[in-house]
Amino acid sequence: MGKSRKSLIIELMVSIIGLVIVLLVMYTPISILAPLGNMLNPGMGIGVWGSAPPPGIGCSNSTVILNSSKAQVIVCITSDGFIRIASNEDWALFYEQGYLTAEYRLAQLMFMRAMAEGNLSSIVGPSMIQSDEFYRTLETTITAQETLNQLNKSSAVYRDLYYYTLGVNSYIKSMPASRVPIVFKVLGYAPTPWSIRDTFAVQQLLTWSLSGTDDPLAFTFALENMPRQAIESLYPAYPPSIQFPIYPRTLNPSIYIGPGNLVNLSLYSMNPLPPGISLPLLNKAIEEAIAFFQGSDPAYSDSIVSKVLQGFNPFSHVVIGLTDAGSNNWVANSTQGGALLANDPHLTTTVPSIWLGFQLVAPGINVVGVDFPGTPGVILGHNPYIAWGATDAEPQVCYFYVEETSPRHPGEYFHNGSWIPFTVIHEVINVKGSGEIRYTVERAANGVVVSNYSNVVIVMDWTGLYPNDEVAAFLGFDTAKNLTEFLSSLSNFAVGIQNFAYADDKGNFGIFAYGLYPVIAMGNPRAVLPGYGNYDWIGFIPRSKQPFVLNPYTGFAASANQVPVSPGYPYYVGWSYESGFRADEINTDLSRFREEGNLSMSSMEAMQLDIHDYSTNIFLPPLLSALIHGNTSPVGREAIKLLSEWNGNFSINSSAATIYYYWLNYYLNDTFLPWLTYYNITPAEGLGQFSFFLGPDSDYHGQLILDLANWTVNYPDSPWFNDPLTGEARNADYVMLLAFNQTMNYLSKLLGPNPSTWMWGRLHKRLLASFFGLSGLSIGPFPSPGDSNTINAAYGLTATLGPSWRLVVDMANPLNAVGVYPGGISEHPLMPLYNDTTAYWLLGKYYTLIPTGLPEAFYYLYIPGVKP
Amino acid sequence: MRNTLLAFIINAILSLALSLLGYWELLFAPAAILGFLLHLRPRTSLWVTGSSGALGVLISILALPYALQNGEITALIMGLPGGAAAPLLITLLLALLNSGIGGALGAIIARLAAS
Repeated sequence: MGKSRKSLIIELMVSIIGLVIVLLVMYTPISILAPLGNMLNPGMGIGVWGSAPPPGIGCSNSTVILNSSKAQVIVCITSDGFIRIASNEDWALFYEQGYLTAEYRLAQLMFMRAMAEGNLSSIVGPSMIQSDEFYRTLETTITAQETLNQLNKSSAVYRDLYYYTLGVNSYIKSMPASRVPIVFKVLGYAPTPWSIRDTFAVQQLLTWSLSGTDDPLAFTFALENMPRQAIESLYPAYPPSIQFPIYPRTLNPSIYIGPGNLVNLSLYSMNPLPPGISLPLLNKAIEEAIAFFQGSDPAYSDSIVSKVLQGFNPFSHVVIGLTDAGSNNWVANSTQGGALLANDPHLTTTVPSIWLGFQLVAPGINVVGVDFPGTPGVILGHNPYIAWGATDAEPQVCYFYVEETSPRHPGEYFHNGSWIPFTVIHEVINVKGSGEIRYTVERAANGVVVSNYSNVVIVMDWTGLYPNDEVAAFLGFDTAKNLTEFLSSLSNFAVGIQNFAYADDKGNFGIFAYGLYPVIAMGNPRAVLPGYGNYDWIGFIPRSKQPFVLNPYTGFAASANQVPVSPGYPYYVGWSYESGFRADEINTDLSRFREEGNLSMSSMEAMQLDIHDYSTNIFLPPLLSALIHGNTSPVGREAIKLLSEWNGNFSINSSAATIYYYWLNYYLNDTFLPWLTYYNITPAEGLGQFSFFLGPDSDYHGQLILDLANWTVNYPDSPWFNDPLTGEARNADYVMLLAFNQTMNYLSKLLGPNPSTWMWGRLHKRLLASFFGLSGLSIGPFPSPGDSNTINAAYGLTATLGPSWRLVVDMANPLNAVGVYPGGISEHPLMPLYNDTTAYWLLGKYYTLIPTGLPEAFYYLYIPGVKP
Repeated sequence: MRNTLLAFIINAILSLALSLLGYWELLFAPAAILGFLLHLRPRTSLWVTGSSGALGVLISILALPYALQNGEITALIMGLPGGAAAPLLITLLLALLNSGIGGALGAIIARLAAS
């Protein structure tokens, strides 16, 4: 009996230990996951099992009461990706916009804020530390706070932000447990209140994605390693090929008159080094800076954060970022007399979309378009009086400096004649599962420190490091009634300079690229400059000289990230733009439609879906000519036949498109890689990362593809076709044939020996990537037409970048305006609203932005007598 | 046999109630009381209260309108294969162990008290 009791006691102990272990397993976080006991709690709404989506489509009426103020609100959720809000009080309009944004996009809001403010690792763990350090270095939160401090608290902008924020927080506060996003339940994250500062922080994230660059770091190596003749030939400061500038001298000569800084710059020379700085150490510092940018900067990779989480956890949390690959917009005088506007910004195409569609109606406002979650109002769209769209103007607003330092002055830099201590900001990054880490940001008079190698300090000055209120620009557009009011609002837009297309109901149309363009007095801004003061910004290009075109005699204007100005513009504004092939195609199309008397909504819609690659006009004839003289295999002969019968359209059934795509990449590589190797450009110096060093986007962006077009057509015997590594003399025909044979070998192995089966759609897809980087929640891939040079752009072989929003409007009849964005309103994957607009977008269809059948209030300002 | 069935039914109902209220970490408590009161053999108690506890949890999950879809999304987020099955199995396994060990504990204490 005693033994039995002993045995029972042992069993009792084992059971107790077992129960403790089970409870520990349930309530101990595993890696970055929430404790399983919380995550898998089967209680109603508590764990993942009880999650419920927000309401689906339909309209509802309600009364909003805030601080004894009362307002009537109508909300309509429509299946075209739009939330429509009408209220008899404008404060209630923005309150409701904030509330509904949080209701449908809360996880997106929280992740964007965390990313912008350098807090991602507090949500998803140590793998995001590098990203957090990057955004802390950009001083996002500090700048956002400074912007808020400068905001007039009695302004309409502040009021709109205030009520939007109240709305977001009202939802967070009242949100039932069942509505907490599943990703937060898995991660154990509880949403925290929103603030106005958070909106400005997200604004900083967006402006960085639109204007940030580290090109001057890598280009310093080009200047250092290559002779001047090579720089002049490979990297001319103005594109050598056919170009249609956005603001040509012929359309606006006034901005070309007068002095500028261009004549004082040395765009082909290495800048002098500050005293005491050796070239090897500078190179190491630059390499370190490049690693800092490339490793954590969203603008240079396919996603903002794309690292597999460390440790046990089996899933990769990626917050797909806002990468700006390019965009199109154009304005035209329609054949019927109204002003037409079309816009398709090429940002990341994610689910949920980076956009959220809104129609906002209140006294004095009826605006429809798309908005970035976290920002009140509409960013791109139209109201009854004006329409606007944007493409990235891509001027250089980031300048890099190497500071003069000395062991005798530790912690200081020499600037304008005196030694000045770096301003030190102590940051604390809370890392989930690892506690706090300390991070130091240092700042000089001419920028933030991005690299410090053996006291060789490189800083970056960016116009976004200073307070800027671009939200005010969009809120102003939303209610603007004419060009004067539009331009007044545009004066708030400073950093991420855009080519803002404009059209109004009076028939005016134009494009404006206003903002802060830094001006330096001397040196080479394409590279790292000396930091001792003489090369600092001395001001900005005056507004009267900033590029714009209004009501041009040509009847249209267009921008597609191409070079903005003609040669002879007096100021330096940058040098690295898109190739211009999309712009060439747009200008060609617009000219044709104008001649045909067919500038209309339907022809603009057809243009947005154009999949003809203009570069084929340039490269295909000489390629076919070269191939006549080349010895090719039966596979090659079949491929030549396909190419010779091809119209240059990248349709999914085109095998010639596949051949051309690979051939062009080989041709580019075969021409330039030997020279870059010859001049010792290494991966650490940016080889394969920057477009001007054969980066992944070099076939549509930057200088090399334009050099190649120029030489192929005009200088086929250029010595730059030679191979400097082997000493082999070559010409364009030789390299084109070499690339063609490589293409045949590669595609035969990849797709089989029959070229007619090498259809473009087999290799080229569109993917709506999960915004959160959760591949299982992505939509697609879908076989896709187009390439990186077509107006209907689809960058890369698996395109996660493309027309993120399409808008076509004739301001003679704005109620007929159409638009579409991929994805839908909701971030909740269970909802049809997660993905209900994708089919239309893929098929090139459009929704009428203000459809018939809505409650009367949504036609306010369009139909006389209707009230909001 | 009658006690076994009774324990199963009562524990399933109590587990369902605790699960619906969100207190599934306490599944061991009613199981322990039942194991103690009904004088089951510890091993029997473990399996009877364990399986009935898991059943109660399963019913409470299936009573939720989007449960399986939510499970599938959870699996996608966590990178688990098999759709909703993987998180569901983990949930049921935890319920089985929690409730079952509680039942066994009650039964052992009952035997100790009687000895």
